[in-house]
Amino acid sequence: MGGPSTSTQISFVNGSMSRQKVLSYVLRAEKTGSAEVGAVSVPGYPPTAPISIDVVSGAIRPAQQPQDPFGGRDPFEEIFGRPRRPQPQSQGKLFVEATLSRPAARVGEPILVTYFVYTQISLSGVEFAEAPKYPGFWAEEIDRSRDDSKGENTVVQGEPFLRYPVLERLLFPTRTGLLEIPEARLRLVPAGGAFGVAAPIERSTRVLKVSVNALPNGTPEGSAVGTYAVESSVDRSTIALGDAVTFRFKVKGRGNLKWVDAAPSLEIPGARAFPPRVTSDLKTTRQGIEGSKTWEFVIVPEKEGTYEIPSIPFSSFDPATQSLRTDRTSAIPVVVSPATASAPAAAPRNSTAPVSLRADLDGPQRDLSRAAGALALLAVAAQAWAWRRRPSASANHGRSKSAIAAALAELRSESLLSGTKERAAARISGSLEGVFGARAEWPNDDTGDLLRSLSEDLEFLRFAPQLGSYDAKLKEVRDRAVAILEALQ
Amino acid sequence: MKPRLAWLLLLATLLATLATAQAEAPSVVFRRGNEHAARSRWDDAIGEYARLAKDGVKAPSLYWNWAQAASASGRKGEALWAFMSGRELTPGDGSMIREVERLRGELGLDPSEVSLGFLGDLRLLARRFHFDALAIVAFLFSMISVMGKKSRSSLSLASLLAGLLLAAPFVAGSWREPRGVVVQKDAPLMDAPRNDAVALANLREGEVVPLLGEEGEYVKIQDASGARGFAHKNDVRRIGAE
Repeated sequence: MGGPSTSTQISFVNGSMSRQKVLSYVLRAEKTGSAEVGAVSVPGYPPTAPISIDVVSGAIRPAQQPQDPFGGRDPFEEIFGRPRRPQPQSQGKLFVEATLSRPAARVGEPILVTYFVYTQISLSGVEFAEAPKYPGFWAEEIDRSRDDSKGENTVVQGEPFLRYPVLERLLFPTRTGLLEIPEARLRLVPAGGAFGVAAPIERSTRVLKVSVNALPNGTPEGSAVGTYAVESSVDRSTIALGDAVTFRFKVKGRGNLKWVDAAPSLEIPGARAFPPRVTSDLKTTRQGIEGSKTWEFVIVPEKEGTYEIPSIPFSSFDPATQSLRTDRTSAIPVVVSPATASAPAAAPRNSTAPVSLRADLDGPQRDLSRAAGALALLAVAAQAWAWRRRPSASANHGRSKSAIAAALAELRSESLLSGTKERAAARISGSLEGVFGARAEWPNDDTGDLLRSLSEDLEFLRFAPQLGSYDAKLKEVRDRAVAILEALQ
Repeated sequence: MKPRLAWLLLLATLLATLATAQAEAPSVVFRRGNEHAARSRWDDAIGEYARLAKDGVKAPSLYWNWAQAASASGRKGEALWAFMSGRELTPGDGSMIREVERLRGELGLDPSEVSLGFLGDLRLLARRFHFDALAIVAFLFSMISVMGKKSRSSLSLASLLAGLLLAAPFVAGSWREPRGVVVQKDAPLMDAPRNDAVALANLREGEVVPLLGEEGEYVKIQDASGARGFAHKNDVRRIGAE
């Protein structure tokens, strides 16, 4: 190990001086394998992160530059005599840095982290390759103005740089210990290049460490951290019975007020205090979250008399004095007068004007909806019963007119008797069945009797031996069938 | 052991009989409430009326007088609730309807903010115009028509359909969601059914809100703006129930 060589840089920027001291050591590996530069600690600051090194045998080749097949020349310049395009001005150093407003804090105490870009070249764009992470912290973005993004000249290790603040975040530690803010990768786009855009360059910040201590012993759970003042007020100090009074408890100051969400306890004997509505007017600045938070209670006294809204305590840890303090509001008296003496809007009727009372307890209007429901069921059942009766009635007269007409047309057809007797009998039977259905469905009345008699004759005609002419019998049967159908019409 | 049990049962029966005998008649309690009201002792009067309602007395005049006492003592939300509860018992009572309208105007509420919902209003309208009695007549006529010696099927069917139409609002109304009236001025609408919940908004006195559920001492409601949350049972009173 050689060194250290010491260099000190002092720079003046906008009238303010900054000083940097760099100790440089030269390390030579004695064997291959993994090596580590241990954490460096300086009193009053958190230790640095250890640095891991892989030691390999032989020599490490320098990273190859992308090869240009034309050796840096423009081939079109030689062919067409085109003048060479201006190359992007990327000759210069560029790095990023994240700084903390303080290396140590207590839980809930704000810490400002600022991300800077140091550049010697012109940039057309800066963005985070991925959103910065803050494990163990609440993070709030600072409300920045346009002037906050202006660059400033500075000197780093004797070289001039332009420094831009890129992002500022206010962090509130949520747990104790040595918390790490991981490196953040920024994508920087140099100005110039083809079409005015050059390939982006990535740079990372260092890992930052914050030593977080707990709040002093005795600090109540969920206490605010910061510098606060409390005040309370009511919208009116005299109300009529039945009216409500609005009580406001306001905490104003700077710190981590945004994370204080437990409502103050308010109990007033003889009055109802409704859960409060919370309103806030908060702004995140570099010093903390500033503004006020108000809890608004609606209180309804239950009886006449004088009530007292009690003093409400508010405990907070003040980082300025490093002490726990408890502020209290003043107790507020509220006078509740009888309802008759209240304001006109809530005034009852003139008590001399008698209210319109009814003397006797009467009965409610009779509700017949259940009876109607029961009758509806009965009426539907009656309809169903009537519907079931319809088939027997229609056996005589309710046949389809179209079916009767079709059957009559068939029976009156000239061709009916021109074929064999079997065929003629089958056609007559088919016509009748088309109207009356199968024999089993025929009605038990006169029509049914006629049909059954006709059916027997048709059976005879169908199966009787061909011993003579049956034309007369067929005609007679057909005429009887026509008569039955015509009777239906 | 058995004789002792029998004695205990006898004693319990005697005590129950005595307690029943000592209970005041509703008319006596009602009269006493009216006396308080006549002397402008509104709280006492309302106390008597509430006692009757709790005992299950369902009388329009009870809610009418309750509403009068509440209105006279400046509790307009409670008065509106009582009138609406009375109107549920006797929808045909024109004076109840007028008083509901008067209070609605005094509280600056839109008609939609005192609505019982489509089904609830439909059922109320049907009861007001005695659709139930008309439906009974229609059903009876339908049955007589269909079962008579001369069956008139078309007339019977028409009567049945008319009866079903008249009865439909009652069937549909049975599916209406329960509603309540905000009886407390500036009652908070909270995000959870707890005492330490955050108040989302303040409810308007007299507003009729659907009761979506019940959790302990709180009811889940939805106000006219569509905001859902929880209100204390003392602040929102169910219509037709005490």
